[in-house]
Amino acid sequence: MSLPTRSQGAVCFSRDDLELFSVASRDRNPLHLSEAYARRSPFGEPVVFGVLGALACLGRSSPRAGRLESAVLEFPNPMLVGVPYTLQVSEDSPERLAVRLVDGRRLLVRLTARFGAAAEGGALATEGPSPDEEAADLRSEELVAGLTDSNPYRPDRAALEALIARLGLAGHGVEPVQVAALLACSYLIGMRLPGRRALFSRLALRFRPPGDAGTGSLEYAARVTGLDRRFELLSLTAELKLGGAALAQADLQAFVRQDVPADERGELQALLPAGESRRGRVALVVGASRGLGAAIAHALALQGCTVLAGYRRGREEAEALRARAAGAPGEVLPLEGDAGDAAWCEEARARILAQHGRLDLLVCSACPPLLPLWLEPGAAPRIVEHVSRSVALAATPMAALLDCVADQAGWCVLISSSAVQSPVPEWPHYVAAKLALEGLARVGALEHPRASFLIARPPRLLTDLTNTPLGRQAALAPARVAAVLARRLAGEPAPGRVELLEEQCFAPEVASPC
Amino acid sequence: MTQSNVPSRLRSVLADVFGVPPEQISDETGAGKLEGWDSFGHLQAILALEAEFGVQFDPQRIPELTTVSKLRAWLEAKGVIAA
Repeated sequence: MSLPTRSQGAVCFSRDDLELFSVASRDRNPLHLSEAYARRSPFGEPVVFGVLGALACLGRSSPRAGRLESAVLEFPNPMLVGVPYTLQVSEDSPERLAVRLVDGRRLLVRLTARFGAAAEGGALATEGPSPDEEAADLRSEELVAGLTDSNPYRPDRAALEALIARLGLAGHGVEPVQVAALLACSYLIGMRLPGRRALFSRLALRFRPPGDAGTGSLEYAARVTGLDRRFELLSLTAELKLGGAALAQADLQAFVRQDVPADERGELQALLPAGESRRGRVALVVGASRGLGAAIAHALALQGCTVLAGYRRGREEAEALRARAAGAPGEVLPLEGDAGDAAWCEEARARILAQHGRLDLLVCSACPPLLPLWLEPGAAPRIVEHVSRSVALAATPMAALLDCVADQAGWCVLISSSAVQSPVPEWPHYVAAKLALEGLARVGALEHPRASFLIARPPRLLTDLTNTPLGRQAALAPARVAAVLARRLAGEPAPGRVELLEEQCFAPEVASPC
Repeated sequence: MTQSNVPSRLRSVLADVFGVPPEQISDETGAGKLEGWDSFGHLQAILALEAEFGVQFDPQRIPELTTVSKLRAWLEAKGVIAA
């Protein structure tokens, strides 16, 4: 039976909190610390360590004299830096704690804990600093049942004490050595099994009675118990020891993030007829460093087009795209800048006309990072920001460049989504943004009747943004959509009209566009 | 609320996953309507049902089985609960 909950204030994490946790735990997983690395994840930015979130909840609970006996920590959704979350308490007695950290209706952390009588537990020996290490990068095929990893574990003592003080954990039923055990679990998942690909999802930890615990150094012995390949969900158990004596037993679960195929060459070449139908044409693809934008840029280059691949932060990816397209009849030329900035768009226009003399095709494929949001008060500012940024990434280049496209009787392509026809909960910002883009296309066609407009509504695609355990299921390869678009754009233009390619036009069995 | 149509085992598993009283689980309950039934919650529900009923869901179908009625229909088709 669920108990009524009460809100207990806001919890907000800073970058400094993440850095302190990382130093204390020695968990240097780049998903939490590296902007560049996290940008390529579905979250778009570094996420808060799950164990840090749970410890923050524990520190905000009522003071208690007892000692932690067991805890179950669940991390259903990511926490971001600088976003205030609400702590909800449903039970907070000397023996039991049940708390949740939520973002409106979205559950981020769930912690249930049991406490026993206070007792003198083991003491963590003082250790010197450990060398920095890189997170392992174990792939699913390496994570076989029976795989083990056993090592001493040495938290940074000074940072551990600072973390305990910052989170207010003293007097809340958890000893420093028990905090260290929780940090060890974060380290094990984030640095070792599976390492950088980890999305920590669940931890069940049971401490041995205090009289059994030793004093000295921590060590762990972990073993993979299984990997559900449908969802890439890894399960492992771990024994934690202190001074050679059993301290705790843990059952851990983590999703293992998979790579998004980055090389669309083979698929594009199989789907597109060889040819140079677009030779001499010049295209600007906004949002071309990855995902569908990259696939479209590559597809156009395969048709002989000179493609300016617009990107804002993905320089490495844009250069990799240029390299992949090196053998194409056309070429891909990375073009760095913010397509939502009017000054940059004017500058890009001048450069394009000076260097290439024309612009035949404008593809608006850029999309800001996308995390699910409910349509609720706390999320409203983020919904507005997403829609605003999405519109800017299309309206600004269209305003600057549509006349050039119309001069060539060329094309403007807006990438929408099947979600506008079949919306689902948690995506109000995405659906609103895509509908706005479609509106831009329809008005653009009225204002520039010499240009042809194409709105594409592909189904869910496998990109960095959708690369979650469930998001990957039944997701279409961007190359397939890019090939359909490239074939259509090689055909007869339709000046002054807005053509709509619905979801079924991109189905695998469809050989040619609708 | 057509709660009485929902087999008690199914209701019990989902109630446990989402931390609500079993009485809150009806045929109409689903993603977006029950707190915690988001994409992660949905996956947890699927895994719990697999453990309870000894079945394995087709990953391609999981994204569409987002209501109790759809889950019930799938389990009935598998013969693990009575229609």
